[in-house]
Amino acid sequence: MDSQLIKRVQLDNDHQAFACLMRQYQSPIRQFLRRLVQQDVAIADELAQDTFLKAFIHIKTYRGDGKFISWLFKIAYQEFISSTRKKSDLSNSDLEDVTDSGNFEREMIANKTVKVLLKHLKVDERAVIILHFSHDLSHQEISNIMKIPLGSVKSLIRRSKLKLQAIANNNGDNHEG
Amino acid sequence: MKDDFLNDDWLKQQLNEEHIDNDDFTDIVLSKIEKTQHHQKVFNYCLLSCAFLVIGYFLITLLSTTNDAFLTAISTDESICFGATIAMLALILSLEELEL
Repeated sequence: MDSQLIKRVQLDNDHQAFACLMRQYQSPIRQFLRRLVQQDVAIADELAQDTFLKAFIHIKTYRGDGKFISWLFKIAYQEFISSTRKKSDLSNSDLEDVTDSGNFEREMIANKTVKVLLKHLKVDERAVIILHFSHDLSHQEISNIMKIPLGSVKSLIRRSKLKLQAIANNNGDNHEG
Repeated sequence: MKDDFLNDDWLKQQLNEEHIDNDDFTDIVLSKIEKTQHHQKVFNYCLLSCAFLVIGYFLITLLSTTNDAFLTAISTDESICFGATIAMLALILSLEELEL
């Protein structure tokens, strides 16, 4: 079904077929970008729109050798990275030590969820966690999307999980103390 | 919660997302696509018109310098008219294609 829609877009620039693909895939792409830009919905949706625009323009380069959603994630991630570079805010918040955050403890008490903790990870750490655990992509697919070696994906996932655990434990200890 | 972060199933459950879907998003992207395609068409036809003009100019110049018969048969004014006709033709074709 998907491959037929993609063929129609590739051969005839069929807008209706592309609209069907968008309805099917907009949710994971928008969720992924919302997590990456840390819940700024307007910016995330704008990036998602640009992602689908680029996907339409370059759809002839998709040869069907991987999942279509992985190809879309790749474009979305590149859009996000280039937008952060443009704004040159490759975030101080991403690089800062999470335990130094002043209102961190209060935030944790208010909302003890993993989604909240994600914002304290670096961009690449956040991306691998979201792609692997939220969208169920394999290590190889993440490697292709983020253009990093397979080994780096595995170590990045492991490191991110340990970091999340460390943040939660640190907060828990502080809270108990 | 402390040791749950190493449990993949628990993490998947925590990071489960709600489905986002609205037609506004699709409509906005489709209108952006149409706008981009329109701009691309305008650019292409401007480029085509310029190419016609340049080729026409060089063709006339070449024929004028190498062919005496052509030189006598066509005056400067006529060559300008010839170039203008080609440019108009390209422009009309562009406008029709662009539905302007």
